[in-house]
Amino acid sequence: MIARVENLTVKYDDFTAVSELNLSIEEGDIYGFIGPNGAGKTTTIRVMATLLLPFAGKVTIAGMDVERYPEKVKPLVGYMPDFFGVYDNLKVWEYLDFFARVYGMEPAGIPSKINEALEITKLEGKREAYVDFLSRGMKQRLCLAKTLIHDPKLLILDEPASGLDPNARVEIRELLRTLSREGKTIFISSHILSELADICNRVGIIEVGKLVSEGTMDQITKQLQPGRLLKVRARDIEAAARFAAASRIVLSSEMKEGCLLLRIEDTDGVAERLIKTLVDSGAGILSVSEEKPGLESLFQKLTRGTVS
Amino acid sequence: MNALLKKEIRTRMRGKTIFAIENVYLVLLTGIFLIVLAISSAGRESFAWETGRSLFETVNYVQILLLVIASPTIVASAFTLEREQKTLDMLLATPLSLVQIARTKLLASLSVFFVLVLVSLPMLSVCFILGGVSPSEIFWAYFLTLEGILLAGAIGLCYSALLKRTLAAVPISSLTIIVFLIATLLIAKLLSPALGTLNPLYAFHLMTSRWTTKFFAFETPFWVPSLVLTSLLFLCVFSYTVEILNEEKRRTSSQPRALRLLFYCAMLLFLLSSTIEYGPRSADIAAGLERFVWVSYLFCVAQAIVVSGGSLSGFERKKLLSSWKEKCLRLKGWLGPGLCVGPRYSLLIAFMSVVIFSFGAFQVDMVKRRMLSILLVGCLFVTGTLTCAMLARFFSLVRRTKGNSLPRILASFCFLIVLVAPHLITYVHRRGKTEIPETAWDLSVFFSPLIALGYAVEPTRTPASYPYCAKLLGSVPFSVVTSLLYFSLLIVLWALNLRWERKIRLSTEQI
Repeated sequence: MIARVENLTVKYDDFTAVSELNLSIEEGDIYGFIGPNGAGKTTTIRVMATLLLPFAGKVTIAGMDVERYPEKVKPLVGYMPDFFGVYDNLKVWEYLDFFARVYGMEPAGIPSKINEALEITKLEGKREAYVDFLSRGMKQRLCLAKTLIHDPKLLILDEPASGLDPNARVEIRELLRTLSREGKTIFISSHILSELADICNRVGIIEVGKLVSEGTMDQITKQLQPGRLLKVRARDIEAAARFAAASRIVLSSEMKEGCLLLRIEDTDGVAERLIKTLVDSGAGILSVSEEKPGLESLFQKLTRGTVS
Repeated sequence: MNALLKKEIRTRMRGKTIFAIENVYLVLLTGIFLIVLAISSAGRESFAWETGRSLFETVNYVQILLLVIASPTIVASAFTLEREQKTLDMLLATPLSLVQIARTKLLASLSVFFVLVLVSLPMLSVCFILGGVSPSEIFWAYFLTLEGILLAGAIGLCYSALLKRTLAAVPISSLTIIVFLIATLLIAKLLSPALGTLNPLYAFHLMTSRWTTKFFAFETPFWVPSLVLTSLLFLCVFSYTVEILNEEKRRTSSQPRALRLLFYCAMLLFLLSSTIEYGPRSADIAAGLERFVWVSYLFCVAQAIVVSGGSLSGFERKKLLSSWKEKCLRLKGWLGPGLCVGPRYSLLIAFMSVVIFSFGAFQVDMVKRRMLSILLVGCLFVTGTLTCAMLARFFSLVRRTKGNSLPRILASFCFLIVLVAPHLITYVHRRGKTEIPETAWDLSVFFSPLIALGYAVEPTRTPASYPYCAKLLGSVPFSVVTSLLYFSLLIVLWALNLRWERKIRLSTEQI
């Protein structure tokens, strides 16, 4: 286990931003940390990045307490804040060179490491450009390059795609996949679940400073919506609904936009039996398809949209 | 070179501001140089060395003033700019320690001024050629300038850490430096020339005046006490800056550690400055020693009141009553007065003993007298400090409101009355406006700890100004009586504390 958050509580004077939070991140994970604005994501991340001291509980990275051994934890972590700027009057390679030296890298190995980081982030062409003249997307990639420069074990990225256009978002997602393939552990936060759903293997959902759900995407979906959801279109939708209810294998049913949504148990043969019943009913079944729950509706269901 | 320093210098030197500052500064300094040269060579016949001397003094005064006022304006943006550019978090997340970051930021920001100091070197070389100035004087002038720049820079850095915006930090730090320069000049003239050496302009004035300097009663070069005091203040301001940056991690509004640091530093500055004597002639050793002991005593008493006044803090009255049986609470209450003669006070008294001895070290026959002096001063310190602590604890016990301010204020007020009353009585009597019997006003001086400390420093001195006291005492030292008086008072206050505790305990049991 590369990182562990145990009963973390953070207070700003009388206000509790994070309350008894527990998380664990395995090596090689892409862990999505999701929650609405103000839920406590950035506060948790700042504690992990040694920028904030916990009020109670502890955070360990590679087995080391971040509060007691910040100097040992810092080289293991690559931190990218949600809002960041760049220094004036500095070229791209000088910017990366500065961070490489600050992290205590061997001077001889720095140029090759800079080239590598620029190549991964596709900034090779901007090597000699001044950082304050880069576009927003490029600055974002540069910050990621800076985060990678000292080869950290754990990348902590606080909303890395915020404020970017759709193309740049796709690029960042691709970049994260590449890094994951190279064996990096990534802890990434976002307030948009769909943004992370297809790249994360584990997800933690936080609301009002508390973790409301944690696991793989499938586990979270099943936890919220047990069984399968079938969408039925028919000529006589009322009759189809009556027959479905009479079959006693439907857990719940609802009409939505002229279609019938039927929830059934996720066991072998149940769906086939229901379809056979409906077809035999003579309600004129046009189509039956499985409906996957919308990620946003799932997220709203979990978080209720409240903030701490 | 340190990576952060390299980056800071690189980004600063690429900006246009640095060249503008250098050019404006050079033009200004050259203008003043030429004006002084024209004035000193016109009108009357003067020797070349006189011109050289006046050039040296004027150019240095102007240089110190300009650089000391300007340096915080650049340094004040060190952290605020990082905050505004949103780069501070990334910097703090690196393995660099806060001390390293603050130190490098200070040096990098001041690098501009180090260049400016070098730029003026050719002008001062002209003074050297004209004569009237020794190479050592030029060296010490530069030393004082750099010392002043570093101190002013540290103050600017402190504001940079304290305030969020550059627009606020820059004018406030400049204003602080101007106030600091004026205040230290006033202190130098009215209170203590030693503290005035914190002001590089005054220190330069002392250097050119060639006054005698005594540090711990020993004649020393003028720069030794100046360096000691400035370094102390610099270290304090720098540590305070680091503490402020550290507070950001805690995200709490209380800053007691940082404030305590400032308090200790201020007291230490006063303590040290009281051991320094500047003057055109040999300074009065006994007066310096007396002042040192007074300041130490006031420091101890202030600490005693603060510690004991807050020894029962954090507990509301109701909670205090309900949990009175808890041993830890009682322990906390008694620990306050105990701490007032605890390890750090013992250290202070030990330090003071060294000072008292060093004042008399050059006179071997005085060793016995010094031992007696240390004993008497020690007795006065312990009884006085504990009495004040016990008084503050009593007020802390009987208060009916939340917070620690009231017990502390009341205890301080009582102490001030004891401090001032004997002098007031003496003053009123000498003006002959009252019918107070002579014995009464004469005896009242026994209550004054400051007078007692004065006699403890010189135990063999008879209190000639107080004839009735002198007659009563015989060969007994004056301070013995004061110590005994305070000891009695301590016993009374202790009994009062115990009685009040019992009262609280009884009322708790009734509840």
